[in-house]
Amino acid sequence: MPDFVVGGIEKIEYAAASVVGVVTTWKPMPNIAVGTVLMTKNIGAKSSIKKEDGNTNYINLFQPADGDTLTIGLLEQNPLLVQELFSVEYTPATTMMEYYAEEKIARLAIRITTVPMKDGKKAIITIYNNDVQTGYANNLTADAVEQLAITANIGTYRKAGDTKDKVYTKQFVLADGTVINSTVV
Amino acid sequence: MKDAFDVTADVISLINIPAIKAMITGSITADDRGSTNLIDIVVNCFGITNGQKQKASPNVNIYAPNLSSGKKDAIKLRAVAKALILLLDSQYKNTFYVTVEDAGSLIQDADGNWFYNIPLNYNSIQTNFKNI
Repeated sequence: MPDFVVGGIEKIEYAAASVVGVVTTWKPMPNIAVGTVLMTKNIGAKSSIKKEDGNTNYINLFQPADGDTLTIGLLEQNPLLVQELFSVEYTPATTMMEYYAEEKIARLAIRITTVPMKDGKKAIITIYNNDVQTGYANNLTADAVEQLAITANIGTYRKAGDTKDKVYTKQFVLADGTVINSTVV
Repeated sequence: MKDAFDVTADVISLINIPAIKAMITGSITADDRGSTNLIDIVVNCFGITNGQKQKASPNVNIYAPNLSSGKKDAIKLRAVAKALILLLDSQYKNTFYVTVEDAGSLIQDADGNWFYNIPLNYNSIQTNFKNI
């Protein structure tokens, strides 16, 4: 049975969100801050009702959790990406960005490629439909740079022909990107 | 990625100018002193981290032989130190920046002469940092 580990980041890419799970062109997210990338899988709350004199549950009630989230910190403020994340007017001739008062919810697909930590295998995690909000982190000191603090609320997608919604894909590949055929031992 | 040798070279690039060279009788060198009886400046760096922001603590040492009276040449050490600190504090360059960590201290060398030690903070932001 093959085993796989998921850790480290080779690269993170973004594209316009897709509710049908199809993205063809990805762009790189520059200079990811160490220790900022975290996928949070929220778990729903279960409560049970028992019969008055019984030990076994009579009925279980399950309250679904909020959606999953992904956080990413970026140390570079590339104007192309900033335009995706914020509602801004960008003037390349003067490299000036004017930030609009409205808060932008960016709709992005995000693809994380991990590093091949073990057995030359790495993971590619693709989240097709995210509602992304961005803030700032870090004080402006000589010892740190301002960080774009991205919080992605992970949404669902449904591929053509599918009957159920999906959230993300996680595929293990070899270090060079070659697909692993797990039917071959 | 910068290494310790790059750090030393970067710091020397900040101070290796005619105005400083005119103040000393010896040379500005990396790691080892060029002479034992002249006024020299030596820059050293023992290591640098490998993070997104690389950090190092290089030193600039000003050596001056004692006066014929046997006392330290405080006037010359002070003049060179003041000139160097101006060139080294809050220097922002394309691939690195340097601040003076401590305004310096007088230390007596093993041979009885004195040198003035100026410790620095050196920082360099890596563009393509991989260990994320």
